[in-house]
Amino acid sequence: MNEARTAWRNNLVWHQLLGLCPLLAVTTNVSDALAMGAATFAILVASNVAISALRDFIPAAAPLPAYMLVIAVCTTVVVMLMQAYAFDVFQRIALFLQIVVANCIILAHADRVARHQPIGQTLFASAVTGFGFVAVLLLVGAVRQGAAYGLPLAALPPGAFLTVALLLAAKNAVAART
Amino acid sequence: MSVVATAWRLGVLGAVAAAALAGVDAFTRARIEANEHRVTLRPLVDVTGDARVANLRGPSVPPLTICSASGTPLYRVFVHTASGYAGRIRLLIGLDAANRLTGVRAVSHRETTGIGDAIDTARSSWILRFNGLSADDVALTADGGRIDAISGASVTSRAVVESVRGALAVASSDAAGAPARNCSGVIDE
Repeated sequence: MNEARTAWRNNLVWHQLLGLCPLLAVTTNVSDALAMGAATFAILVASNVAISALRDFIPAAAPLPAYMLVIAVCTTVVVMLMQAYAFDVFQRIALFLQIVVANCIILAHADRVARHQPIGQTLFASAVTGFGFVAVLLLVGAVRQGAAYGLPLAALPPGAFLTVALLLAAKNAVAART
Repeated sequence: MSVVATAWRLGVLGAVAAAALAGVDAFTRARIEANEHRVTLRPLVDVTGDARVANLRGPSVPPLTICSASGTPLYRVFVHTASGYAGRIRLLIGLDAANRLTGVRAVSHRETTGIGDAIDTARSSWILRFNGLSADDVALTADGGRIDAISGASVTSRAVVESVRGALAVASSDAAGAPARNCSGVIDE
């Protein structure tokens, strides 16, 4: 399973430390982490598929404005849909959902994959990347929510840094052995 | 590709993006406004204890006098600020027509986590003890009233109790005056 290995070993969060802002900010519990992950997943896949579909139309001299436009449209649509159908969840993650526009994972994926690959492969590749991101958010959310029962610090901002650091250290230790 | 062609293509993308956003906005706007209205009114529903307040027509920023459709005053809601252990505590206070408390909520505070923050309904039900009390009952049990102090947080407890007591005194004194009795909004039966 090459793709599974990509989601784990070349996970954009663990491997390149991209997307740390939502990872640190909205992982105090599993449900917020899941909501943030699902929204980011939807924006990542939709924007990358759209960029792939438009790859011959996007002017080669100025691709970045076009990418940002597509990502911003996808983010705004997800924000509006959440406000309409999941308002309580939206209120908990509002700020961090809106800045998904500037999420490095999505832009990096658009630049590395979507601009070169046809729609089908882009859909698959961005779904794998998005799944990896959701999995990391859920992992950090679960660890912090669980630890917070005995250690309130885990739910506070410093707990986010410590949790991510410990998980990253564990991942590197496993990677060094294999 | 020429500069003109690049600009043209970016312009087309921008126009398509604007149209897409306008479409989604038209589709979701009514629902979003209804959600925002519901969330704004939620604290008022809490302090009046009356689910019908969710259908309040009129302004939603206290001080409010909420009336029935026929114009009878049902509830008054106002904000009072107490001086707590760690800064100001903003209290939202609801009264019925007989000046009995229908509910009190701490809408913002910075009391100590794990001790004084028991005034927050997210942490404990302490503040619900004010429900149904009149001015005479609003005092700590140590002072002959009917509110038990939060253990370990006597400064916070006393601040809230004294503030509610003061607010009740003001409310009863201007109950005779017409201004506070003018309806700010109505709820349908």
